[in-house]
Amino acid sequence: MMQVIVSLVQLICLVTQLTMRTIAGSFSQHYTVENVVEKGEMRSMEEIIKVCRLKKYFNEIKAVDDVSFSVQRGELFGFLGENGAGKTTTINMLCTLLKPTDGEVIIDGCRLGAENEKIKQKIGVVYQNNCLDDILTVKQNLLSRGSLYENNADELKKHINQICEILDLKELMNRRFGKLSGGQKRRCEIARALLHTPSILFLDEPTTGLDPASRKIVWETIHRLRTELKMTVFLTTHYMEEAAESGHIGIMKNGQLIEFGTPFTLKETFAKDKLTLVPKGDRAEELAALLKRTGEEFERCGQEVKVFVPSTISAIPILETVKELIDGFEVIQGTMDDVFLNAMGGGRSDD
Amino acid sequence: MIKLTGMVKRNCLVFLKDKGAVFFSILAMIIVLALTGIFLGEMNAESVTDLLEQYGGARNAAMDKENARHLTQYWTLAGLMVVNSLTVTLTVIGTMVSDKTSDKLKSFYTAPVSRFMIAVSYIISAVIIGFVFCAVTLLGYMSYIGMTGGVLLSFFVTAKVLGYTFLNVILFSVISYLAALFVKSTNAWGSIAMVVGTLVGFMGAVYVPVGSLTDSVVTVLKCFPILHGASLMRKAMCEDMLAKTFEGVRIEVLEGYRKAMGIDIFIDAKVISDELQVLFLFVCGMITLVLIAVTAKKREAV
Repeated sequence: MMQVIVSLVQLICLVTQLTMRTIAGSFSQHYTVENVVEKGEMRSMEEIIKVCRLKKYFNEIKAVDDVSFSVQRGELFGFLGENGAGKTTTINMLCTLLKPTDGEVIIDGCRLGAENEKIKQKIGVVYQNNCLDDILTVKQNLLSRGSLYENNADELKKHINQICEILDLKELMNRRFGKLSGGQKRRCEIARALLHTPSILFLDEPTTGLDPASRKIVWETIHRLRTELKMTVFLTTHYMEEAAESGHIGIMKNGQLIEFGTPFTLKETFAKDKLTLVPKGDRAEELAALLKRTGEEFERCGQEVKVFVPSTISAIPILETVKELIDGFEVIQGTMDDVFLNAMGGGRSDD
Repeated sequence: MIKLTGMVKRNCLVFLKDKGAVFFSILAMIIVLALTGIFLGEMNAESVTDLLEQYGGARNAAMDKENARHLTQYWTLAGLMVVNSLTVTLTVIGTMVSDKTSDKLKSFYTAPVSRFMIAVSYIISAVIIGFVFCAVTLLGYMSYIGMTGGVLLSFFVTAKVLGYTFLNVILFSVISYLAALFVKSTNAWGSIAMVVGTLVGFMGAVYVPVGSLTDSVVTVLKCFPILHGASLMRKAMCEDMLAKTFEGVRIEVLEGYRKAMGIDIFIDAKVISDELQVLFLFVCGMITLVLIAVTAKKREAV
């Protein structure tokens, strides 16, 4: 009898301990970057930026509300959202400009708040507006900005030469910054942000207001940085075709990260491809009836019939079915614009 | 140190290369010079010769006129030095306002430099440029006085004047910096600079001597450092010429002139000493620095 009681007590103790550990574990998992970021919602590859439950409140206004995401080393990360969605506030926090109300951020192994000076050495930021002085030459600008990072004047000059070589700025060095074209100015801004060879480059709407040719120049520069320097680029933009270049995309709305994924997965979720069918002669009605029978989602646009397909590949069996009834077809892929608009509207492609 | 030097150099370059900013920073000085050239100088000199005629007994009128002219020249120069100390530093600090309204200040804050150092760099730039501009003004005007037959300041007096200039420039730089913390647009700063440029001549009693103002206005002016800065400068620059010009004239006449021209500032019929005026400027500077620190602390980010 005694033995049974002892065993029972031991069992109760064991269960209690296990319960306590589980509860404690669940709490600690909730509030550390490592756990939250590496849980299902986040990725486990080498993460250079880890953001965990980040919040920024301005009195009653929740500018950034409980945002968690991560960025892999070397990737181009697209950060999207309407004006006022909280993108710039998030970037300002990651760049040490704003103090978060709550949450944890680790940037290249350094904890935001505790190791800001180290973080500043690891990041370069290109703002939407040009930061260099119009009245100074490119060289004077780069020398003055570079001196904030590099104590050795010779080393600084060496860095400037290297960066200018990569970004093809040599011929602009003695020209006044204010006299350059929009694209050239942006390249100089990127050079400024790279003078201390950061591991992460933040680009806050770098191509806003630029003509297509200048945008192309800026994008060529970004591509070179990624291919030649393997640099992580954190990009905010309103141009969806630019965002489509990203490895991963985060979409902000009202201070919250509402979507996160690769352009492919987001397109799958939010933007269907369209298969446009051109019926033979007067067989449009017959085609529509066939599509209805096979359960396809479609709409009539004049003589044409548009079928919504989840991916380009899924158009093949449909074409196989309707090939006798059509003269031609076209597959139009879903765009990032569709993704953005549907995500912001709260609608999914299958809605 | 190279970071601070780099920032200071950049701020100075940005200001100096902006010809418009340089012109407007010395506009108040140009106005004072123009007014002095047109009528103020002559008026002030005549008031001295009238005094000498009235109270000086039998004198050499030509020499009195010459002395009066040089005395008023030094008096004007003293005023110019104070006007420049304020308007030039105010315009240089304007660089910070334009940096704030663009994203430039943000880009400095994301560099591994403390915000304190960035603030110090703006103040140092204003001090350097303000001091250099004042020194050039001093040199230029003294050369003019020398060429027109006036007696040059001694080395000791020049050093004293430069010392006061340095004090004024530092004080007005920190005051301008404090003001700049609250200004959010370059237009607003431009308007402030215009108003200050206009007012400084009156507040330092450069356009109109203190003696021509009402007691209540003078009482208000005494609360601001500009009048004391100008007074210190006038005492240093005009002392020798005053002694020479008012030689043989009753001391009460000289005292009256010194009071009327804002060379001596009185509180309850007692002259405020140089030491007390320097202390006042120093305390003003300290209070401003505390206010800057409190404001910056409130706005401090991460």
